[in-house]
Amino acid sequence: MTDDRSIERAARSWLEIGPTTAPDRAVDAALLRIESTPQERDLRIPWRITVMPMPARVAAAALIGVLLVGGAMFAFSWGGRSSVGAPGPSSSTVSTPSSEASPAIASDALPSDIWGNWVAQADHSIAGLYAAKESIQLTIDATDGKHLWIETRNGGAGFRSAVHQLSPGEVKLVTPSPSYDQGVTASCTEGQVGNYRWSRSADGTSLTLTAIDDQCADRIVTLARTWTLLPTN
Amino acid sequence: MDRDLVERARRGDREAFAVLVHQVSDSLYAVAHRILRDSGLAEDALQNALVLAWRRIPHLREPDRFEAWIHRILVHACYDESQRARQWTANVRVLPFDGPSTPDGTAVIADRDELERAFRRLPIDQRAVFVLHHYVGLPLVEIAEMLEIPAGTARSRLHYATRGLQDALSADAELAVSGGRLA
Repeated sequence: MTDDRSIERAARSWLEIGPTTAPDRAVDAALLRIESTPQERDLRIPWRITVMPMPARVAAAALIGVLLVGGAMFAFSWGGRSSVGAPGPSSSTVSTPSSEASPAIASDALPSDIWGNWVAQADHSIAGLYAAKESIQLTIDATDGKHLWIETRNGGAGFRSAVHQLSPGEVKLVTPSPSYDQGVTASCTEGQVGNYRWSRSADGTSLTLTAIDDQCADRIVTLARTWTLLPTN
Repeated sequence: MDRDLVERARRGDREAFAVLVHQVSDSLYAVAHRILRDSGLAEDALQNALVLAWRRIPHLREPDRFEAWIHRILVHACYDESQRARQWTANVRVLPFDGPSTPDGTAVIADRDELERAFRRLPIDQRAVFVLHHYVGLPLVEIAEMLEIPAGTARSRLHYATRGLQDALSADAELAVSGGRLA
């Protein structure tokens, strides 16, 4: 039984032996987990942005600029009420619980103004996740700001990390257990910690992550860069 | 596969996704079991694949390719389970089947045992391609597309899997012969 044909024949009949029905307990357990599992948001990344012709890029940049200036003027016209962080004492503010309150956020979550999606071009490749020059997306969980991960244009995901804000502008990332949905982690293993500084540009369109240290080198080369805000529509 | 169910699941309909789960879980489990050769690991891989599929289904661009897509997730879940299992069994050696095969009906069982041992020695990515090709019946081009690997890579994994089985079975046969001589 050692030539190719006979091995394939034997292997086929051998593979036929075995279970063909999933145990109910496994399916039920999965459905139970799904009940409490949120879906990832699909924001339809405009990957074509990297291949837009120059006139279209200029027009898009101009439009974004107009929107940003308009948005900034709108924000200032509200007298800074949209500022993020602990509100200072204000004698003129009438307490209106829940009308403008943001959702309850754990103190170690990232500030809500950087939640969302940021894009950049990879300058190297990570096997099984993305290739050099490919557009990649950094997603900061928009439900609670306590996780971030990388997404790719073909639906891949990886480097999922739990987020703990250490101080304003400094964050600790921890690789979760493999039983958690990590995606592709390359060389990162459970519990590995990375400390990063983050800063946002004045106009809010760029987010820079700088590694202070990270036990996982692949996470550094993936995350430590300047990211561009992806518009939500 | 019902496209409408997939579309509803993409929009967050858990009931629609549960129907899909019941439609695909037998097939997924059968594949996982054959790749991993272990019921517990296969159950874990199935669970993790289904949960991950639920999380990621909003990103699924082509609902008609749901089955291929979820099989890809399953195969990656199998890789993860295999890696985890390896951490626990790193020191466990696969022992040779003791006792020569006989020309009667027990020879069939011996062949199965040999195949089992030989298959377990293959790298998990080769096992996956082997199972998808010889059990699910997918052509290599589809396997490559499903796993998002070049067709040449799928072909070489299948080739090395077959060669690996061949070598392992030959080695077992020689061991049995030399064992018989020593005895």
